[in-house]
Amino acid sequence: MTGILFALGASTIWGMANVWIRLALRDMRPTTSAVFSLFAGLLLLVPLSFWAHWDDLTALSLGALTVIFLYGMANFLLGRFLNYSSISRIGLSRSVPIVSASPVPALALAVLLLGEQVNLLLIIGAVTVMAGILLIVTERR
Amino acid sequence: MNPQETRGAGGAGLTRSHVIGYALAGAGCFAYGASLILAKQVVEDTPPLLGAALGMSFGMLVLGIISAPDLRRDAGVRRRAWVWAALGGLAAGGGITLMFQAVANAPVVVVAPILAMNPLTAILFSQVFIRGMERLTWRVLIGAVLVVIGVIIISLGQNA
Repeated sequence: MTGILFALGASTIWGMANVWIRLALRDMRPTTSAVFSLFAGLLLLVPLSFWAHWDDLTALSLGALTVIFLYGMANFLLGRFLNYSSISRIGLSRSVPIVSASPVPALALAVLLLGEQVNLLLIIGAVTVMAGILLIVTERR
Repeated sequence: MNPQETRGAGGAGLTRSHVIGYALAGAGCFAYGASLILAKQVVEDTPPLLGAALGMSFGMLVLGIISAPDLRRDAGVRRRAWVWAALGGLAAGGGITLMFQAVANAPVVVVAPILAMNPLTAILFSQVFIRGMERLTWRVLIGAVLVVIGVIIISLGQNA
């Protein structure tokens, strides 16, 4: 039950985060919003993570740091900047569902690069996601 | 930022700005997808919370350097905008912390579908708090529901 409550909390707070960012984007560029929101998020995450994992931090190898750097570039630089840029142009109702379809490219990359196996459920899921995105982007305005 | 672009989200006609907006969303989707693959590698050697904090630090530093001219130009925007951006960042960071706690306290097959509801909560809150800024149609809502259902099916398929 605790895990479900935490998950509900995460989903709720992420939903609200998008609304606040939408409001910020009325006056601010997506780049500025992305940098400042990352800074604010770090005020929360850095003390927590350093307190909980200080020994792991000091033992990190160069290889691990390189992978973390690439992860940071993909998620927090490209992902967040593109997400906010998109919200500023088409609004969050249209942008957030498309951006949230990230498990589909992740699935394709996992199959292509890591040789992971696909099953029927994964194919049905990917087709359902694509149908949803198609509905959104072909909307007549 | 050109205010015309923001108003376009609730206006009529598919403008060039909308097409670019959809392309940016697609590119963002791909970037987050690639980050999911990289995240799998990160958690092999590093606690997830630490990996997220360090990844976020790298992302902020590099984006901050690249977009320094934009930051200077935006220095004079209304104070309220900074508050919204800070709240958005704190909420995003808080969400990451809660997500790790959720995964630590419940099976992924239970947690992943709840986390996947995020687009619907975002749309719900947009209709409650900023309805004037967000035009929602049945088509977009059904599309969002389909995306959420599809992501839930994928998360179940990955854990089958």
